[in-house]
Amino acid sequence: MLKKLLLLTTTLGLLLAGAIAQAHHGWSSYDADQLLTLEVPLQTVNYRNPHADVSIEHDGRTWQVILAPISRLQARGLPEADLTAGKTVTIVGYPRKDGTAEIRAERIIVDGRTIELR
Amino acid sequence: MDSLIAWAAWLEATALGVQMRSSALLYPALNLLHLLGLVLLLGPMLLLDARLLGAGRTFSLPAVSRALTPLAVFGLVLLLGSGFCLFAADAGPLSADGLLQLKLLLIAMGIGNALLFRQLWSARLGDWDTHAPLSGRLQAALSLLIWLLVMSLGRLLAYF
Repeated sequence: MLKKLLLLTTTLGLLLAGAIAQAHHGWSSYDADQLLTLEVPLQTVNYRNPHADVSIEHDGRTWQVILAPISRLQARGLPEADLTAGKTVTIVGYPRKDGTAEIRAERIIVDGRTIELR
Repeated sequence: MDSLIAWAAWLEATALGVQMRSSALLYPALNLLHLLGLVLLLGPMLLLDARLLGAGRTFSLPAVSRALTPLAVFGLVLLLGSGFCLFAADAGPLSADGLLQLKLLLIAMGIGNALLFRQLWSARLGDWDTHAPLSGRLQAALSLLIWLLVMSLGRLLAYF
């Protein structure tokens, strides 16, 4: 019985490894060796679940920056009112490995306050 | 497919979708309910499947089935309800996500498999241990595989 279960679990793992090609928001999808620090105005702000995101201009492209769930943002002192389009903030984060214009932010500096996002 | 995408966009724009996105408490709360539903479905389902495959023969199969099935059904209802709310928050992008599509397909297969099993074999659980039909045991093994996959795909939605 135990052997059968082990076999099933192994099969499951292999199936999953084979099935997953596209990558999304987990930290593993981002290039941790390439830390970007960008002082930029916010183009758009989506203060929402499952995670807030903003867009910025960088290197001639529009980047989507993934922040954190809004419950975490509020708990760490970044309410919706502090994150407005047009405001210049500093974003510290990692770009996507696959070249998509998307950044996962490690921290964001708003009005002189640093908010850790992880 | 187009009508599904339109429906997802509509759902995302409903009051439910808006609340799920904008409330700091609702989304995590529904996440917790979804997790509770997962535990209540997966635990009993996997135990029942293991029993059908021959584990724990000291416990009478009809009694095990009577004890575990209602829990699994309750867990499934909780999962479907909370899952629908979580989906509403981000319905547009989620409906285009290959992992979620695969997960929904597997859920349909898992429910279909369970209903078919009840239809075919619920009267034969009494002498299952001496006369277990091969196709019935295959259904139990399939159930194990399907629900573990559903669980894994659900968790991985946040990462891939």
